Amino acid sequence: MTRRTRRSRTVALAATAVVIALGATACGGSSSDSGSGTPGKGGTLTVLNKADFDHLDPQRVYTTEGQSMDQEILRTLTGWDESGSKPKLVGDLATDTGTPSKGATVWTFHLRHGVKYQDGTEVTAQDVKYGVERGFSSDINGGPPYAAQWLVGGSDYKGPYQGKQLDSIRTPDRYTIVFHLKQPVADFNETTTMTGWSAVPKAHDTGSTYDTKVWSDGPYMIKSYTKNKELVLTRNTYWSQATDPIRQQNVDGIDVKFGQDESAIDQQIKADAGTAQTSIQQWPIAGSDLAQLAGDPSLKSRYYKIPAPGINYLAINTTRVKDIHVREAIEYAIDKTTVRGAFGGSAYGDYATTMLSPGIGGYRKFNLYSANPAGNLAKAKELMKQAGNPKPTMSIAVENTPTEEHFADAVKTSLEHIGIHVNISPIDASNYFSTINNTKNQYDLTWGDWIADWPNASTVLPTLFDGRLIKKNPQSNQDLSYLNDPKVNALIDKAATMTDVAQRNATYGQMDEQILKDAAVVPLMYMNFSDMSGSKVGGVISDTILAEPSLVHVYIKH
Amino acid sequence: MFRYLIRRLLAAAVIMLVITTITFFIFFALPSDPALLACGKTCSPSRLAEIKHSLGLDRSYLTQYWEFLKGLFAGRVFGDQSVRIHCGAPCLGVSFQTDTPVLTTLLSDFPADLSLGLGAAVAFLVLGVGLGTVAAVRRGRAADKAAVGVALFGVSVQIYFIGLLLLYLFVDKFQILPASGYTPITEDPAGWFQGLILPWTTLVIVYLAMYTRLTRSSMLEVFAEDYMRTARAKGLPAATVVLKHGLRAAITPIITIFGMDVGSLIGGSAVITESVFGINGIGKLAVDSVQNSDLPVILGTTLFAATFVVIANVVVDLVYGLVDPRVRLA
Amino acid sequence: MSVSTSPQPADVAPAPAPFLDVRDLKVHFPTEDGLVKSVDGVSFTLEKGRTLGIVGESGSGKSVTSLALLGLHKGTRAQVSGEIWLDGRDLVALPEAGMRALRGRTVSMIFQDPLSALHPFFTVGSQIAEAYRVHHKVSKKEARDRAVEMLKRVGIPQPERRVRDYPHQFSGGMRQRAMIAMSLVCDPELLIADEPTTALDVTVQAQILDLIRDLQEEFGSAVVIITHDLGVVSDVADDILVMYGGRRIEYGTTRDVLKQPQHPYTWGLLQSMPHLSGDVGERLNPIPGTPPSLINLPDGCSFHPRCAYKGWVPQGRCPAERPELRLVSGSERHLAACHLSDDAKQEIRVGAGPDDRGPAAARAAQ
Repeated sequence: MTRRTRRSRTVALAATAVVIALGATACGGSSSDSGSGTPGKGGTLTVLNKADFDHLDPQRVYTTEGQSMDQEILRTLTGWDESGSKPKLVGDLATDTGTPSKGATVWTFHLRHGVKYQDGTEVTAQDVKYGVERGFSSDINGGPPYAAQWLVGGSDYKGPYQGKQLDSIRTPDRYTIVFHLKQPVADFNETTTMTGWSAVPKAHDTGSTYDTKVWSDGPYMIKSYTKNKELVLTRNTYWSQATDPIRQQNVDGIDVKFGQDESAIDQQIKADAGTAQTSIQQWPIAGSDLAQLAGDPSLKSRYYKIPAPGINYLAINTTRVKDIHVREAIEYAIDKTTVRGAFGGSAYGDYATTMLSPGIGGYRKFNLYSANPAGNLAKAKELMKQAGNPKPTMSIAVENTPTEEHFADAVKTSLEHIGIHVNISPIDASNYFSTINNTKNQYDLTWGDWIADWPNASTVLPTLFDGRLIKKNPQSNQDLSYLNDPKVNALIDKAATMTDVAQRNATYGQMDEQILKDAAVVPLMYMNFSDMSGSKVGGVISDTILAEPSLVHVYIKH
Repeated sequence: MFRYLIRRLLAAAVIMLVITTITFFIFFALPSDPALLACGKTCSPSRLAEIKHSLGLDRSYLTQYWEFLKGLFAGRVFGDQSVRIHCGAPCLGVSFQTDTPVLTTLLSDFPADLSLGLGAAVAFLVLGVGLGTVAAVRRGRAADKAAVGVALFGVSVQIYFIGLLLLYLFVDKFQILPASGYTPITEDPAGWFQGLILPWTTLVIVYLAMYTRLTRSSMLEVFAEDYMRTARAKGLPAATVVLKHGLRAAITPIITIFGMDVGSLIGGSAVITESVFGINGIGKLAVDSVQNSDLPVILGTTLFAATFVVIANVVVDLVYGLVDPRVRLA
Repeated sequence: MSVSTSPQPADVAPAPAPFLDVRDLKVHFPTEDGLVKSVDGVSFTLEKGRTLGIVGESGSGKSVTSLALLGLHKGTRAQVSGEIWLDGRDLVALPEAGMRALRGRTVSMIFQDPLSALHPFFTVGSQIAEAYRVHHKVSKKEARDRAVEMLKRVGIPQPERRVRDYPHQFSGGMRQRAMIAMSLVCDPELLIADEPTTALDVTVQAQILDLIRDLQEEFGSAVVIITHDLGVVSDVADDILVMYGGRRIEYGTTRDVLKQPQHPYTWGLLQSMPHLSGDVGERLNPIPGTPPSLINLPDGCSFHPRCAYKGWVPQGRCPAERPELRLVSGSERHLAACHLSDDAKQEIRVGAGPDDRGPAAARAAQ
């Protein structure tokens, strides 16, 4: 499901700018200012999405849209309180953010009392255990791999449906759950903010069809859900504000409509008429509309530019482009201003010089290459000279969308300046990642993007640059640089065993720098995602973890 | 007649078998792997193998194909772990993506396509034939040029453009219509109609051109026929001559094309219109299924669309027999 | 007008107005290449109960004349001038609505090819009934009964059954009978038959002609038969009008025209006529050359490029001077437009033809 996973929320460039432009000239500044309404209870929020969620099943969902929607329906062990200036990790189902053992291999969480499902029964530690366990079944696929990677016995466990339990999850009583891990995981309590670490009552588990029957312990429950058409959420009357530090229950219901064209959605919300006034979008604004809408002052109060913990980059295949000088020359040569232009301009994101983006634990500001984002051709040419002035021809893999093909052209133009000829290989967008992640298909340059699962370098660098994984997962290789640098690998192992967060983050910063020293990748932009809501939607929080407009405090202005 | 029908249906079954076979094997020739997609972004080979097994993709293509065909007639049961999904005959399989029997999804999407396709088809047939007739009668004069001009406009604009423009004008700017979309007619007939006005209009604008031109040229051909002179010589009023004697003969070639258009429209070919107006029909389902490598849905939507095109063909032949007494269905 | 408008000399005391009186009819079609003068000054008269045969090659203007009689040029690009007096009304001046009321009822027409002239998608019965209902306020049932009656009248066996048949289920002769039934369903006063037998087998031709004659006797209609075949009209017509290039070249009673043909073109027509009594294998003599362009008619006599006898006319008058339509000497109403002198014609007729062939005219008149 790469198309919609956290990895690649690529904003497709559709050929619709003309209509939006037409809308802008015809009704410039017509946006009615009904924003003076006051917060209150009641009303229905409409969510306009171009496509259905990959899953709502908490153990399967891996898209930001689905995860954000699940926050309304269910609760996780820990969660992010984003009402302040920085995201704060808090206990959600759990009373606090968990207790690690010395060495961080055993994590204990105590559950709140009185958290109730939609039928009034109480959420128990056994339900959380069962929920995590079911994610091991091959039927419950698509979700993140962390439980299987870390829990003792996880690599052999096949889920609870044949009656077996996973012994490394212990539930000494109704309100206590203990996880035994194979290795130290210092930020395990950040992993547990993901929906996989939520409760599923065995009696209401419908296996692979659970997507439409998720049993709610959050403020809203599923009233009806027709796949690819409409999801209707209504209040869960058993939910209690007193037990929930993150969510509110302001609106009466949420009506999610799927299937409209993304430009039509942008246009509708921009025009702010009828139900559009109480609507919001979860998919980001279409690339073609972005520059236009980002610059419209009349939309300012209902335009959300959300920095994502993500990076848009160009991987240089280190096994094919072996000469470090050539790779460094590429780092200097690429004109990031034209590259960003292809992706939608400044609204898309800031120029990147590191693989870790500023919101991520482990981020350290540094720039090894050109200070000017437009590049430094003199330096690049000098490096090429050092490399003996080869005139190589390189392939670049991009999605076959207009956006990415413009991007490829920008790269091609930059590299021609230093005598590198570039052949563009556009790959069908829906099969892009399954193609490039297969080690059978290697290119000299490969476009990629990555959003962290939680804002820590541990979900970015080890996944993208641990060269020892290439052989292990030949069909789902994430190391697009094919970097297998012993120095990087050693830092990965070192960070993994560290329990002190500050020390660990410092190690990740070092790792980031080492990767860029290897010139294995050209970081292009730290990504932003932009969404809009109607003028009567209030309480939208910028969720910088998911890069989604968070709905946990949403209300309708009256 | 009856024998003719049987023969046509048998031929249709063979065609559909061929289409299914081709679709099936093309799918496996594609680089995408549904198991890999389902597996997620960091997928270990062992997990991948398990998912392959649970999706039934670990068996040989021939076995899978045979299972699919068997399911069509005998039904199948899917899933062996978390849940058992019963898929009764004719079973088109169960979606990899939603774990829903494909036929259930198709049938729930079908009313939207039927409403969209039939409604638009009736409108563009009536308008196109009307405009074409006017153009033919007023050949070379202002009305002809206007009709041909309108038709030319329709054929040169893109659905995508015209759809978004209509949405912008009628929904966003002047707010004459509510947001478009599909409401079942059984729930709210007025809402059904309002939600479909713009999609219908879009399709009409795009299809009108062809029907206008076709009617015009067909009419002009008929006008030159001796029997049209006979009709006038009888003293029939001009309207009767044109509409009864002329249209009756001119409509035959139009029926063929109309049949194919209706068949493919309600079979889900109005993908872009569906997408622009947020109508979740079979066209969108088909496109999504290809993007998600959802083989059962790909097969299902292909078969479904093929069924309608084939049915449309048979219906066209039958209607031909009714319209033109010279055509004998023997 | 120097040319008389009817076979009667213009100075004869006014007789009661003829039933059909066509005067100086012109039908011109503007085209990109120029003005096509399909009919260029044609006049004739016809009384009720009488039959006129209009004879000519294709392109001579005979069919265009017949369509003018039905007013079918109205609403087209055709420019129609002259007068068509029918029972005291000038059809040329009549507006379309008035003309429509007459079509099918007062004036009706039998078309050349019944297969293409009948609508393929409607039953024979419904097409006949439609022609009746458009002029009579009757129920569908009554109109249908009338159709059956008409089919019976034109000699179609089992008319009750055949009324439900489609044209393609009829044989050629039956189709023409049905066509005749349709044109007679409203008892028209003027019946125009445009090549009524051309598309039919020889054996059926005679039957159809007999039928038209019988029905004419029964109804007392005036009949115009249009044909390229003098043989067709020789039996049924009272008068014959020979047209060439949109103009009259010979006009008179059937007896006069066939026995004393005055124009070389008429001779040619007579020669090219198949004759049942002729020797098997005898070669017909089609008129050499092709019909003239109706945009640029040849100067002088428009037939002169094809005329074998123009050498008989002194001083090259044929290519220079257009012959007047003159009364044939010794005849009351036999008109012809030819420069040949009577003596010359006499000489030619006794066998001094250019190719030493005996004129077929005598044979035809036997």
